[in-house]
Amino acid sequence: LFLVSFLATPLAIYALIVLVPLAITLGFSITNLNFLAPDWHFVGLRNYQFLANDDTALHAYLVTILLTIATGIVPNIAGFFLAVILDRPGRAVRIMRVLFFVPQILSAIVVAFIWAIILTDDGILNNFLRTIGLEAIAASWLGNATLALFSVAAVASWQLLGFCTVVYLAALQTIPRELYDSAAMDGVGAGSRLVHIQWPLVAPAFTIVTLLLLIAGFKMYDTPLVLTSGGPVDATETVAIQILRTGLDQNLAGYASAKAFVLFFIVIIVTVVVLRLLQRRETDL
Amino acid sequence: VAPTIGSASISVLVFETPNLSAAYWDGRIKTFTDAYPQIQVTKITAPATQAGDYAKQLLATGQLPDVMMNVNVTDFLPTKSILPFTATELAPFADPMAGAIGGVQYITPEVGQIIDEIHYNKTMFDAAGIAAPPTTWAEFLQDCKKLKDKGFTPIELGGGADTWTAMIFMQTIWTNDLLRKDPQWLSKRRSGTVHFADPDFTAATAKFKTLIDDGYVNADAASVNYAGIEKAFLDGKAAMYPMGNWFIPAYAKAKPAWQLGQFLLPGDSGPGVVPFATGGGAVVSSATKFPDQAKLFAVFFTSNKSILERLAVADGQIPNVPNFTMPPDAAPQLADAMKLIADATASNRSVAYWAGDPNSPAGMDYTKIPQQLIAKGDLTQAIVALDKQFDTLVAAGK
Repeated sequence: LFLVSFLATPLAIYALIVLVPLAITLGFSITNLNFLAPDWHFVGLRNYQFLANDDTALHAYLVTILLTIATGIVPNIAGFFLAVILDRPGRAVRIMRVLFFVPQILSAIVVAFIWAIILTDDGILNNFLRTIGLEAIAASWLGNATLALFSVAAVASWQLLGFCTVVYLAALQTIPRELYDSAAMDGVGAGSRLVHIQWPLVAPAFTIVTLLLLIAGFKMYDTPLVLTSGGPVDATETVAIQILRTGLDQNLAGYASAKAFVLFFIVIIVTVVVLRLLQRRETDL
Repeated sequence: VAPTIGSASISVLVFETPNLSAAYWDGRIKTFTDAYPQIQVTKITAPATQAGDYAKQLLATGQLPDVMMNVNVTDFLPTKSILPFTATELAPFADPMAGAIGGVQYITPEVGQIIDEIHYNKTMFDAAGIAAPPTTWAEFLQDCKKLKDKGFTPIELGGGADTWTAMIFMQTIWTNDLLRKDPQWLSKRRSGTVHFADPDFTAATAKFKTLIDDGYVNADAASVNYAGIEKAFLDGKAAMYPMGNWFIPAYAKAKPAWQLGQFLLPGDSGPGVVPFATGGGAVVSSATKFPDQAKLFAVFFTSNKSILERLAVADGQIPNVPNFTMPPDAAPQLADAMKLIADATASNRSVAYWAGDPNSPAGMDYTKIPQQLIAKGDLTQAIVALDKQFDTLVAAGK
C-alpha cells in the first residue's frame, strides 16, 4: 500500500501530461476536427489514408529523417572529439569550454536569425568568400534545395555541438587518471588511448547523447522555420512545421493530429530500437 | 448605430508592425475614447503581425475579443462567431460592400490595397531607353530585355522566409489572365469544373517561368527575404519591384536619388487589372456583451478622417471613404496609386485579388508555384502538385 501511494502521485502526473494528451491526439486523429467549425465528427482512418497519399506530408517525414540522421551523427562525433581535446587542465581550455557551450544556451530562434544573416546570398559568408577570391564557392546556401537542407542541418548541428561536448566531457572526467598513467607507462599512444580507454568508457554517455539528439531531430521546428520557412519548395519543411501549418493555417486539426501521431509512433520505434542496440553495445564493451 | 449610446467596456485585438506601433494604436484608440468617453476600450496586441492566427486561438479557447482588426473573415463564419453589418452602419464607406461574402458584409471595409503593382526606377528606365511604362505583356517582356541588355536586373523578387513576396506577383498574373475574364474561376475550381492543369492556368503560370528562364529576375530570388528585396530596390539594384502599394512610405522615408514610378502589370492585349483587396478593417464578435458599442467602435475606428489620415501616412493605405484627400505629409506617390485604382475602376479593371478569394481552401499554399519556378523546377509537375494540394485540403476539410 505504501508503494502504491508513493507511486500514485508521479504516475498521475505522468498520465496527465503524457498519456492523456496522447490519447486525445489519437482520438482527434480519427475525426475531422476543425477548431473553427462546430460540426466535427468521426471519420475513421480517413486522415491516415490522406497521409499515405499526401506527397507533401511524406516528403516532410523524409526531410525530418534526413535532418535527424545528420544532427544525430555530426554533433555527436564532433562533440566527442572536442571533449577529448578539452579534457585537460588550463585556463585557456576552461574558456574554450564556455565558448563551445554558448550556442546551446542561446535560443534556437536567435541562432537561426544570426545564421540567416550569415548564409543569405548577399550575406556574410558569401561576401567573405568573394573577398578572399573564392567566389566560385559562394552559393545560394538557403535558396538551393539541396544546400538549404545542408545549411539547416549544419546550423542545428552547430547549436547541438555544445551540449554533446559537455556531456562527453563530463563522462571523460569520470575516467580514473590512473588508467591514463598506467597506459602511458605501457607506451600507449594518444590514438590507442582514445580507442581502447576513452571511447569504451563513455559508452553510457554516447547512448544518452544519441537518444536525445534523435528526439531533438525528430522534433526540429524553430531552426528551419526561421532559416528557410520550410522552403525552398518544401525542401526543409519538417513534420513539426507541417503539423502546425495543417492544424492552424489549414484549420485541419484532425489531420494534423494524425500526422503528429505517426511521428510519435516513428519516434517510439526508432528510440526503442536504438536504445536496445546501444545498451547491448555498452554490455559488449 | 444608435444616436445615443450607453457606457460599456470592450476589448479590441490589434497587431503591431514597424509602421503601426503600440503608440500608434494607443493614439488611435484615444481618438475614439475622446469622442465617446463612456466606452472604455482595452487593447489586446496579437503576438505576431498575423492577428488572424491569434484570433483563431482565442476563438478555440472561448476568449474572442469584442472587436478584431485584420482577421480573415472566412475563418469565423462556420461558427457564426462574427456579426454582420447593416447598410446603415456601413454608410460612412465609399464602397460599403467591398469584400462582402454572399452579399453580407462582416468587416468594415476600411482601406483598399493594390496587391500588387509594379514600382519602377525611372532613372533605370530612362537609361534603357524606355520612354513609358509597358501597356501589353509583349511590351513588358521587351522592356525587361532592354533593361537586362543595359546591365540592370529587371525585376526584384523574394523568397527565403518571405515566399509571399514572389507569390503576390504570380497571383497578379493569374488575376490578370483568369479572374479578369472569369471572376468565378476559383469557384469553378472548387466545384471541379476547371483545374490548375487546364491550358489557361498553365499558360498564365508559364509567363512567370519565362521571366525566370530569360534571366529577368534577381539571381538570389530564392533566398532573399522581404527586407532584402526592399533594400535592394531602394539601393538601385533592380529596375522593377512588384509589391503592394504599402511600399510607398518606405520609398518616401528612404529618399533615394532616383524617381519612383508605378504601373499595373499589363495583360496580353492591354492595361492590366488592379488586383484589389479591401480589408484591414474591424470585425465584431457575436459573443460581445455590447454589440451596439462594439459596432460603433468598429465603424468609427475605421472611418474617422483623422484616424485614416494617420493610417495613410504611417502605412501607405488608401482609405475607403468618400472624398478622402491625402494629408500634406503623406507620400506624394500615394496619389499616383489612387489614380491607378480610380482609372482601373472606371474601366472595369478592378478585380478582387487571387488570394482573397474565399473559394481557396484555408491554408492553400500557392507560394510553391513561384518557388518551384524560381528553382528552375518543372512547370507541369508544379501545377499537378497544386491540383493535388487543393483537392486534399478540400477533402480533408469535409
